[in-house]
Amino acid sequence: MKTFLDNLRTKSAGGIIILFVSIQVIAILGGLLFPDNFRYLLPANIAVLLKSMAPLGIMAIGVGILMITGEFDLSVGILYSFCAIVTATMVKEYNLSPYLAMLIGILVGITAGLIHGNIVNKFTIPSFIVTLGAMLLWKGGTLLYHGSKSLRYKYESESYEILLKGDIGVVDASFIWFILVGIIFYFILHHHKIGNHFYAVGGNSEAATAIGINPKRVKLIAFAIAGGCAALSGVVAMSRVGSVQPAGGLGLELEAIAACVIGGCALMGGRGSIIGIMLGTALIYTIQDLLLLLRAPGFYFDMFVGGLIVLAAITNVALRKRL
Amino acid sequence: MNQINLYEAKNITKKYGNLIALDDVNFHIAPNEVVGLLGDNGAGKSTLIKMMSGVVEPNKGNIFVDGNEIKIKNRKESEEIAGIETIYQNSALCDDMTIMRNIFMGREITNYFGFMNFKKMDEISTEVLTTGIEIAGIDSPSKEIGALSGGQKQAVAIARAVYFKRKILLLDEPTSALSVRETEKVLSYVTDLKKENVSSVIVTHNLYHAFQVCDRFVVMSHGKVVFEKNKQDTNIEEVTAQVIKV
Amino acid sequence: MKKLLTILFVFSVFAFSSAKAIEKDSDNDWSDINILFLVWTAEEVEFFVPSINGAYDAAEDQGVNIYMEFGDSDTALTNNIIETAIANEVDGIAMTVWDDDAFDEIVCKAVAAGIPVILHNIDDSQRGKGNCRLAYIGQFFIETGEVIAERMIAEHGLKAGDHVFTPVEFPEAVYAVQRHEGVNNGITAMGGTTEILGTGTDHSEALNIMTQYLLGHPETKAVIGLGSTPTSVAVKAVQEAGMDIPVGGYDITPEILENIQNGSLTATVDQNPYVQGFQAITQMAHLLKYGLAPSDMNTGGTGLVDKSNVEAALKWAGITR
Repeated sequence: MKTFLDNLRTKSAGGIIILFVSIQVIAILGGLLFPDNFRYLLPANIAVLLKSMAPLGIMAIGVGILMITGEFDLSVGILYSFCAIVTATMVKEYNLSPYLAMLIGILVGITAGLIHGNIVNKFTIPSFIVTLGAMLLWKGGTLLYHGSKSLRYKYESESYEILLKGDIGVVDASFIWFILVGIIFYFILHHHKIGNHFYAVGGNSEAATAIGINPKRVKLIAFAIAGGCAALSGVVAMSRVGSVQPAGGLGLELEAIAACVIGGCALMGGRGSIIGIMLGTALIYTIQDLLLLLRAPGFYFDMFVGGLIVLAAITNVALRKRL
Repeated sequence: MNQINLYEAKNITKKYGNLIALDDVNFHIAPNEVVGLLGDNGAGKSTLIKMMSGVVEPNKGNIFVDGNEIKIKNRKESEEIAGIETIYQNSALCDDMTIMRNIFMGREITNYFGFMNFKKMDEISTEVLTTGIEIAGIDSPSKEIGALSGGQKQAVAIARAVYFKRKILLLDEPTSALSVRETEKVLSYVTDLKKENVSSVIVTHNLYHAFQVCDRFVVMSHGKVVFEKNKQDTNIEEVTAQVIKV
Repeated sequence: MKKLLTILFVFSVFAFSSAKAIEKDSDNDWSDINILFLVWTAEEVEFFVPSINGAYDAAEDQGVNIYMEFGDSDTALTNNIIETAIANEVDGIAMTVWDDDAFDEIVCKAVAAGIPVILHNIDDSQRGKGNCRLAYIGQFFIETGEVIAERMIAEHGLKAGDHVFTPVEFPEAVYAVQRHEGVNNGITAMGGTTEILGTGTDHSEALNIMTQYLLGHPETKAVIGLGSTPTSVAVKAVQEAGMDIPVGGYDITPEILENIQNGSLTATVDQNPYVQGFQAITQMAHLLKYGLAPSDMNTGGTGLVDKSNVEAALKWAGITR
């Protein structure tokens, strides 16, 4: 048991796994012991909890991979909205199939990521600054493209509805997308050689260069992944709620970064894991859910969530330091 | 002795604008030898190392590898053609990655689709750690580099170079960040390397260390080679005097 | 002779009065009048589209010029925009005071410089006593809160001890505090309770948080959204929480209108953004042309949009509704 715990502590996701499992155990016990007052295990609650994690989770996976290479993309929040709007207008105004429209939306996200990455590479400006500017540019671009009206998105295609909105019991389609994206990028990050290069470039860029890896090319791939994931997260969110707001995603970029850091990613790069990012996202929404179920005062709600997020991050570091 | 040098640089000149970094320098490395490259700051040692590893190209002069003239344009070519690898003061390793992933960084063993073969890489890493250069105190290739001491890290970097069949190691201040005990270890690795047919060039400020391992001393000053002698023909006082001479 | 004089007299009176009657407002060239219409949020906020349409329509009717600026919810930026307008000697400013203190100085400065200021959409919480503005064209938040609360109580039989959920985008904003005050007045008067919660503007995130609130507060008997975002997703949140309680709220979006049509949403308070823009510019033009003092206007009055009148709202959505 001790070696198992020690092993866990050395992994970057060790802290979040311990924290997440502990909180879930307490919550589930609470739900079993007080089912009427603390309705954690109610199917409706589990359903909404799983649904709520999916969009941010998908976005955070992309943000996290980019963070591992040592870079940031602050425009993922606005891309969440912009790419979803592109998808919606492709269906409504150009009558494309929703699948094709979704693909186009994701391609727009990937292209945006590549543009940001190229600017960062070519002019050696910190990605934080480049993507901060990009965020504002895309914000304006959204208005230019479609004006300030929000867009309804309902497409009468049964297969599409099931794929994006259907459910199996309490598990919603959006959550399955989240898991799928997680699995795919788990294999890419932890089992593919490009994943090894992500870590190398983020951990010690000079070492990577000395060994013959091209950091610029590697980072470019990461930027593309971040943009694509942001776009997918927007489409998934839009399909759930049936509409997209032109600037609804603003602010999610910071939550995504928080999810990654809570999940064990190093802000400076070189460290992190897919399971950590997914659990970090899950923890944020679990905290939100628990507070609401425990009837935390609505007016001060944000304060509670923020405080608990900081606490989670500190616990993470403390657990790791005891190495 | 009439053997072919592993590496020979003749009449090398390198200028940066008006600054002459290397002035008609001749330098060679023979098989099975350790060369000490000495000199005060600004003497040109770093530039010579950079040129050997392919990071900079000389303005004038010729380079010979195993007796054949070649031009080396970049790091990759210096690795592949001349078999040269540089070990830095802060070794080219990533603290947050395991020993195995570091050893195979950029040279991962993969299947057709690029997915890594962990089993094979683990096997080879273990072999690398236990044979050839024996690195005490490391029991598993899954340990993170960050958990190793400075000397162990240097050892891993050296072991990696040897595994990938490097013939010449350039060690740039390899011991300046190490404790006394670890320094001894690294110096003994370097000596052992001669048996593996790997020659080394050590750049260092510490003349005592240099005297422990080097077979030959080359002292540079202001871009020129000012002194060159085999160990048996000189002593530490003479070399010191040459280094601090203005 | 007398007959002739009478005819002459009648004729001249007629001619004289006709000449007077012929002169209309549109006979004059008012195009040198330049008015700043400042929208306090970012450009992409959908709510202001009808408001801006109203402003432009009014400007055309009145023959004056207006130009548009956006304050991006940033008090510093808004102050800068007004400063520039004062320096450019604009003739009138139509703006929003969404923070009780941040604009007191700049509005008084404009008025002192001879530039009248009329507010649209949100007023200082102390009305004219807290601010140098000449008039406010917009919703009287507290009053309308009481109206929607009373409607919900009457139609759904809410009684003492009942709890009502009142979510809003940003609980600390003036519009949120005052609408909540109004709703709370109505609900507590009959012995119930309310609770406010922030949802932000993204519908997906709002839906999640509202559903989770309802799951944690199963005793909730009704939902009254205090803004367009919570009101748009309230019906869905109630469904996802597995409950069946009435929903009412504020503002107009396609989702809200659809829910009114299918009966799942009882009524919504429409502040008639079109009227806000239209009347702000019209009253400003009247003031600048004829010195007619502007007056406060409670846009939307006590009217609610419900099943009985939702068709007109649907027809003109996005243009004037």
